[in-house]
Amino acid sequence: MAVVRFSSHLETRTGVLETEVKAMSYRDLIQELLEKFPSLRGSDLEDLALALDGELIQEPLLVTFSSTAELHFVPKLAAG
Amino acid sequence: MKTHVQTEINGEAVECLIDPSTTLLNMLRNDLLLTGTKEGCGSGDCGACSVVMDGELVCACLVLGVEASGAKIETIEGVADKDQLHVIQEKFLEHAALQCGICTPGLIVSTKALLAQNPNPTEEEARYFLAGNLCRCTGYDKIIKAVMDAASVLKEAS
Amino acid sequence: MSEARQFQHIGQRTIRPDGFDKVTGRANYGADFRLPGMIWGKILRSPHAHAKIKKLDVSKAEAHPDVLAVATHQDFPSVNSEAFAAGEAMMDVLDLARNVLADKKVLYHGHAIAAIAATSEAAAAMALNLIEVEYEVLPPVMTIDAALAEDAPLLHEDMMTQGLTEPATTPSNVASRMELKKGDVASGFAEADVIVERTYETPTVHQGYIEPHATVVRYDDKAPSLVWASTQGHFDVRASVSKLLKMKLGQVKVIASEIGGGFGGKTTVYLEPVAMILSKKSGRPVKMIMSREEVFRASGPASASRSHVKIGAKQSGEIVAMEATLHFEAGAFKGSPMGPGCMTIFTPYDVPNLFVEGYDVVVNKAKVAAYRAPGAPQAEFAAEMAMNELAAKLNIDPIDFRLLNAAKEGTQTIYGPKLKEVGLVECLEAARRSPHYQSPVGEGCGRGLAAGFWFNIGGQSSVTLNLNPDGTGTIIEGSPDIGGSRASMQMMAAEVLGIEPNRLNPIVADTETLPYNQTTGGSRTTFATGMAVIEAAEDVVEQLKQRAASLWNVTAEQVDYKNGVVLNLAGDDQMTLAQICASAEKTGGQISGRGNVNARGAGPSFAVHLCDVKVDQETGKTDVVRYTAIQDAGKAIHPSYVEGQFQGGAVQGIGWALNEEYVYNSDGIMENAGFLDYRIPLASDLPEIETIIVEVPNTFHPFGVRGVGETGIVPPLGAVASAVSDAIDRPVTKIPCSPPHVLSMILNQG
Ligand code: FES
Ligand code: FES
Repeated sequence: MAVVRFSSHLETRTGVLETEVKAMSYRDLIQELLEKFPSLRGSDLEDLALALDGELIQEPLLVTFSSTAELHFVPKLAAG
Repeated sequence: MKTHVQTEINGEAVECLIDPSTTLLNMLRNDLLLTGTKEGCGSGDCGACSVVMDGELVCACLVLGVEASGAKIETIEGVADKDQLHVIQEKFLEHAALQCGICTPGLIVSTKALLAQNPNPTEEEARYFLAGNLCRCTGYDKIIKAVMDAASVLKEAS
Repeated sequence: MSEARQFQHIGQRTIRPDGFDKVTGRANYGADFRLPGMIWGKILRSPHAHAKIKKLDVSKAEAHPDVLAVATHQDFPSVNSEAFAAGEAMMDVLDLARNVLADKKVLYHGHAIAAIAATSEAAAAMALNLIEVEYEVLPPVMTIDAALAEDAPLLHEDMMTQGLTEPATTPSNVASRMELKKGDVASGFAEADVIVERTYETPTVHQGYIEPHATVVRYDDKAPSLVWASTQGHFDVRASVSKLLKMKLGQVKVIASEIGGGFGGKTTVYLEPVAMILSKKSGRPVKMIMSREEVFRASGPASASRSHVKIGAKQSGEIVAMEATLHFEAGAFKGSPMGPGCMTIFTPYDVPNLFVEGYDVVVNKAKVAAYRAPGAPQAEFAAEMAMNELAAKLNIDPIDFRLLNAAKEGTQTIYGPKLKEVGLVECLEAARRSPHYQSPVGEGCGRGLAAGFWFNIGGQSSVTLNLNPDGTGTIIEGSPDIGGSRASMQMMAAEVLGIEPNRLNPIVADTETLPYNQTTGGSRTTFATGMAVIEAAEDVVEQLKQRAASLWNVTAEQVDYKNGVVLNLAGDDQMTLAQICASAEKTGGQISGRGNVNARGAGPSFAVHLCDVKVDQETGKTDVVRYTAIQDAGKAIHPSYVEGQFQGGAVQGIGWALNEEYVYNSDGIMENAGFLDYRIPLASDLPEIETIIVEVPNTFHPFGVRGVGETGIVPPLGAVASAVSDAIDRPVTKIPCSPPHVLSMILNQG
């Protein structure tokens, strides 16, 4: 199962820093997390980028991954 | 009331009608459409507007257009000979001495003035002579290398 | 990674394709453009740092014969608070509208209130005096402490701190809080033998681009309106203008002029929407240029900051915990780079227990804009100073200390992902081997070093590559070229096509020619636009193969492409790219390739800088006498421009560390709004800036590219200030190390 790690900000909603998911695509991932953590809202995740095995993906909508993937929700980056 | 100004720019006789308060910089840029000379500050602090007036390096933003009457002005537009770049220009390109390039016309005009006055400058002399030309992109390193290289090529040629 | 790859063009030092125009004065920058019938716009700015606008009467100005239009905040169609991506940062439309033209309040000295378009620049400036404004002056909030004070005047009566565990119930000047953690710092510090804990401060500084903001706008009702602008991102100028003025994207065409520096400061809009209003009202094209003074007062400063840092290590040098509280000034509206500050501060180190919290604080200063690795220089300055002090306490060489704790592949970052292959260890080792580090520290001098980290970003880029019948071509890209990127695009396309770079001319196209391209920033251009160029060139290669195959009557699989030549594997025919282009009309028309990417996998870039300073003990004046910048580029496409980025970043950082700061009087008015008094480094202030390019390829990029533009400004603050500490034997906790500040430290025996 893929592993999702939360920031301490998201932890305030999920109560955990880490969880395992069955999902193998971004869309399924969001659905699974929202079901698993009722106090998590879609808007908490929507504005975040995804890091998949260390690769930063700003627009993850169509991303798929394997069952050994490590996933992180990361703030979208600003830069000069 | 406008004033009539007759002057010589890069070897060409030029005339125009300007407001007496117009700076040489604005006269060049707005009235004569010579926009190669840039404005970075308008107060003599950045050197982007460097031109040569009667053999002397000046900030065009600190000179009035009317003061150019009867003078000989050299601007960046006159540095290359048609398609043939001046050695200083070539060296700036070879050494990647420009990033955004806004400071470049002023620096090239100033470098030309430096080498006319001191064909064999030390690096320190070059740094001090060009201290009036601000560049925010390059950290000056490659500019100084380009200047020193141009000086040595010009010296060999003479 | 795989063996070092052999390249034909990449890694060469070619002459940039836009070079001729830029050394002859032909290149057109923001202020160099004009349109027939053009008039001039000027802005009336607030004389107060904080005030309510009681009355704004523009009728006398409107009545003046030279005046063709007046604009105020009332001219914006009503916009609602809504976050949208403009430039690189998320921006609230309502805040943007209020920044561009103040609504009921002015929030900083220089805040735009109204604008006038008149027949000449002088007439417009003169007519500003005819606008009548009445203010109710409020006490200005100029520092983090003042903003946080219990009874602080509020900039925004309705601002509730976001990101608190318990939702805020009363308004304050704190826009948001953020927290990141890993492990457990309390138990980490319990294991520490030595702890350093200090508070560090950095001042408000400016990006200091030499070209002031400038635009020419022509409103059009029937055809797309035209915006000519000096910007890092013309597609985002279009987005901002269309949001603010409720115009369709297709109604706004933005042409990016050549740009005279930006460093993040030209990722937002100031003049363009105002000029659009003036043009619409007057029916004439409008030109607006900021003066240098306006640039300082009303555009892009970078956040002042205060960072409290605590680091604990064992006697062995192993760091067990790091903790920080960061406060960043946002200026008049929310949105400082506090977030990236929190995310970057400790990323150079692999430490089990980390905790960072950050606060975004509004003050009565111009709204901050991005400045090269926004947030990172301020935050990492604090961490690096504490790191050096800790190394000294542990009696360990600062490079060894960092090597012992350096982040590497697999390090769990505080902000989320584990790092992939990165080059910090390689940079530290290169620093140790460098002639600079090997040389003794001069008499009366001090030496400092610091590391730095920046993420780099990817994002959307679109490129079209058109070939001509004679085999020359055009690379059409949408990333304003701020420091020689056209040369890199040319080289990358040439590498794929196996032809000479100068056969392809790169141009930066307007917003009608290409689909959306993200702003030049985040060190993304060579990486992401480069990927689009590579994709477009590969698309061309496929087409060349197909065309040749159809001429030879074989399948595309039976042909190969190498060095600009298509080979028939089923026979011995071959055709050059130029020959295929010449016969393109027979094989289905002309050839063009396309690359539209949303690039993923940007590779972080680490750097290490070394600095030697000499301090005059009598005056406190500090000179940098030797400086070396070492950075991981992944792969340097054009080494000269990569070195140039290292050097430019280093020198901006040197200025930040030694001289640059906004000086405000008690009324909140900046007293040094010019290059004479806001002193950026001059040629005579500096030594040679030595560079070492480290290349640890980014596995996600076909050529291994990481961005290089931003990381270089991160280490200098710590490197320079540590060198000063070393020279005067006192801990520096505040920059700039200007002569009066250094002298007071020297005199304060402590
Ligand atoms: S514009 Fe003349 S010196 Fe800056
Ligand atoms: S190259 Fe940009 S200011 Fe010098």
